[in-house]
Amino acid sequence: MNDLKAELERIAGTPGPAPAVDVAAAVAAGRRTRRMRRARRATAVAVAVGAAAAVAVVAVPPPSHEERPGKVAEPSAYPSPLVEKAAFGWLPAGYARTRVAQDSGPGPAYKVHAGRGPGSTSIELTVMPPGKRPGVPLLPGARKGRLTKAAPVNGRPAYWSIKPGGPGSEQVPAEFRWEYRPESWALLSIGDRAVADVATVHRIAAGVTFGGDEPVAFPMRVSGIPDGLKVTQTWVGTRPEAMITLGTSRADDELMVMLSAAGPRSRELFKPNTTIDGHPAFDTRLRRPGPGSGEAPARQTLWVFGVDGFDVNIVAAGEPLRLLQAEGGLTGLFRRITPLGTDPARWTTTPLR
Amino acid sequence: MAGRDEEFTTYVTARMPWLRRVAYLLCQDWHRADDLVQTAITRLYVHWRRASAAENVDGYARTVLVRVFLAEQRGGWRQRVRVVDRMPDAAAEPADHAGGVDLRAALAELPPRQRAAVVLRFYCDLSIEQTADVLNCSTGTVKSQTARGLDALRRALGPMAEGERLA
Repeated sequence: MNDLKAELERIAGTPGPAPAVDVAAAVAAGRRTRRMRRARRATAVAVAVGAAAAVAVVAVPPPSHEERPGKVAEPSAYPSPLVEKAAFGWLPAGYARTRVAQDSGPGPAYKVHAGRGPGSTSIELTVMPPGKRPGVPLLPGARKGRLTKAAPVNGRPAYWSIKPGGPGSEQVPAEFRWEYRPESWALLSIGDRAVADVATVHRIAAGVTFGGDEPVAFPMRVSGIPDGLKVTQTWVGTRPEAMITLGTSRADDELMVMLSAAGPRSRELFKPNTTIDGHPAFDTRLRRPGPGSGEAPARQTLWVFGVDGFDVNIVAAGEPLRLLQAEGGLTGLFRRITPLGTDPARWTTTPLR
Repeated sequence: MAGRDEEFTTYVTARMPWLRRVAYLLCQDWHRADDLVQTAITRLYVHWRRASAAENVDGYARTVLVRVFLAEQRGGWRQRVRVVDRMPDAAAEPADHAGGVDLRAALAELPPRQRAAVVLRFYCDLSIEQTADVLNCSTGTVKSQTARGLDALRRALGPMAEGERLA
């Protein structure tokens, strides 16, 4: 037994990376949870009191569960921002899934891309929200497109909006849609002419599975995200790369954090004008003063290059930018971003703290 | 509120290395260990009034941590969606000690509750009753989970277990 204890102590003493635990973020998230619980309790009490008045009986407020040690609160106001809703079951040889995305904005949709190697998105599957049909694309010359009935997919109705070799296929080789369950539509767009034939597209569609609901892992961890924002757009790709955008009900409010594999392209576009923690960086606040300088910027962009093999990009505008100023601004937020490397086994499904 | 936060921060900061070690033993991955600790201390903050009044604050924190670990396992943590179909080459683990016995790998193979039972009994030195309290199960279950866990470790470690007896 002593040997086992010694071995366990040896394992526990294995040198690890610097701790990525953020106590301040835990306090902030814990406060949010407490506030939400208080609000829920107040609502429950109000409902109970209202019901009691209606039936003229005494309503007893529900007991507090706040301090029950076994019932632990939701850890974050930003739970897994991307949850799997569909997956390819079959892809042509050489193809693999390359990107997963969720748009929760005005045109919500879940997308899965596949291609020949990282970064390729030549096959795109879009899952529409229930009750929403995909639009019919215009044909070249702004001509109105039309749907052509296709063979059913797993017994469900299906249509071509662009049939291989038909009108529009010179621009998009194929586009196919099917109602995989009543009032629920999926759209398959094929950008690679080599796999845009009727049989292949049909086979891809027939293999798609819907549901899953597994959280998708991200190659980064970001702590200290201001309270009260809503995740509006996310994607994760195999380069690896990832992006999370948050906002409010106001269109001008935005906070975007993106991680991409370090490369020369971004650095060429956004020539470094400073360094942050030894990394070359580009900060729009440091651009040459021009008309309007002297006013607080409504939008700020920060690029930090070559951070553990990644380029980090942060954009903030409106209320999120104002909230971040109290926490070290975009530079402060950059310092609270931890890239998790290229091994997906080390990624996290709860990247926002 | 400020005093409460300060007290919480002081406690967590001081006990962070210990919490990370326990979390690492449970999951064998430092990044996941940090995730577990992050979630656990968030929950600890929510319950800090009760936790700080407890006779054994460390015990309370450890209970939260272990339950976070088990809940994550139930929630399919290991079945997270992988965007990549082919996993990149894994970073090499540091070489094990001279005996070549990789208890870490054997531990990782144990089902989560058996692993938690072994860690609580033999690393945290908890009694069967205390372990049952943390795992929210009967003492009989702790005994059987521990016995199965040790049995699996013996089988995995072979010569060491036979020669040195794990339990």
